[in-house]
Amino acid sequence: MRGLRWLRDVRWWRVIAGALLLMVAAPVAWAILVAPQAIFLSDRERTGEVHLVNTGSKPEDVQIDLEYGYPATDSAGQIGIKLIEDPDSGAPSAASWVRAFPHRVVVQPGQRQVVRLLATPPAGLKDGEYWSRILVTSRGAQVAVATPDSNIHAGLNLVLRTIISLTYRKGAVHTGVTVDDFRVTEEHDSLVTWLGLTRTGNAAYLGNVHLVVQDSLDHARATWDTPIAVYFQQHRRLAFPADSFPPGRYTVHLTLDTKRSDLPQDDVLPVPAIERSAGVVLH
Amino acid sequence: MRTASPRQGALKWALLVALALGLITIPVHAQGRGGGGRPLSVFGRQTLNFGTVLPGVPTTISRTDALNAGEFEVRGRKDTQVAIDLTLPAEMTAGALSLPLQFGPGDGGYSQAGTIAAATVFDPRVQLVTTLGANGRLYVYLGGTALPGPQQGAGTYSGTIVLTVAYTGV
Repeated sequence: MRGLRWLRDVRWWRVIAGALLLMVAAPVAWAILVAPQAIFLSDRERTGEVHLVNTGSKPEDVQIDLEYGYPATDSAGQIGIKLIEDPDSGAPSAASWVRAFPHRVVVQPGQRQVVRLLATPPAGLKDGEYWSRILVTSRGAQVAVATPDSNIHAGLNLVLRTIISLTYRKGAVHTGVTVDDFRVTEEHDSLVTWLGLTRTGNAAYLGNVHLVVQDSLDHARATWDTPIAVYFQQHRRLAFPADSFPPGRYTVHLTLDTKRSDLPQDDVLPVPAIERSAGVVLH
Repeated sequence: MRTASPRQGALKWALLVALALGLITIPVHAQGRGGGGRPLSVFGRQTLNFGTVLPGVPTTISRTDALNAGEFEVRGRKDTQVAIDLTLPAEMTAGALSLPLQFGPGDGGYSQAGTIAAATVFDPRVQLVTTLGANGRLYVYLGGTALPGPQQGAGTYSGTIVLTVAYTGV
């Protein structure tokens, strides 16, 4: 029992008081709302605004940074936002010449803050799209500071980061997408769609993936929709639950269109819809 | 010095509550163009808190521990895919002292309904790509383990978690 002597030495009232102090002092909620989800600038409109609203109960120290990035898939077909701190000189990055004012601000609870964006592109910029991500980082939560004593208190602070997109359009821009791969497979109790896409033109393709699963009697059994953004190439894996489908042959119909309800249609470059179909047998 | 009247204070809090409940949308018509759709917001409801730990005794906070697990909420457009990254510290510090931390594949949970006990397990060390619920919400929970050494010095140790959220479709 010698090894447990320290247990007797601990002043338990301090342990309990410290724990209570940390629990009581913990903030209820801290939050930042960032709007809109996408900013579109152009050579005719070089300024824009991002709105921040502190919907939490503590002041938020908010920092706005710009970094080149775009949605990209990994080798497993998983989508994510790829951020590139030092892009190649040939990359269509707007991160170095779009600035945010203010760059850092404290937003009080309930307060709304406008962040203005100003694009100052270099001379001789070629027609096309230039991209950045806007990183809104808020540091509102600090771990409660316990009174100095002989105990060990441990807690973590929280930094919240919201990423939105920024697009700068110069001159004539156009886009499109080609479907390089469209396969459907059964994996355990899921239906997995593999979608290989390559963007054409000089601007990102902003559209929707619409999938309809039909059984052998042409009855629609399920539909799925998801917004998609193709900046270069993507080889995407989309998995959907299929455990409620009886065994048999199914056809999956794919439609890619640019009718984005979450973005102003004026900002979405229109492209004719693309349709494909693929069959799969579920066991 | 200007002070807010009780009525102004009440209005301010009413606005805050309405924003938090998603009852007010933010109109965005700038010189440049802003994409519509419901804006993305992230709420930190609770930090991961180990409380008071004892020297040489690992302290594990389960992701289902409603009092001490990290609890975050993402709000946005319903049925829309988001990518969530958690940058997790390897240690907490108190001045020059450090206290190791460990996160495992079962330390993350997410739920569209906000039920911590029934949340789907995920590995918080890798990116989570999932879909916001029909109400536009997703709840994320985080547990972990603090590993104080036998001679761990007293102090208030802290570290920082970075929670990054983005829509994948723009």
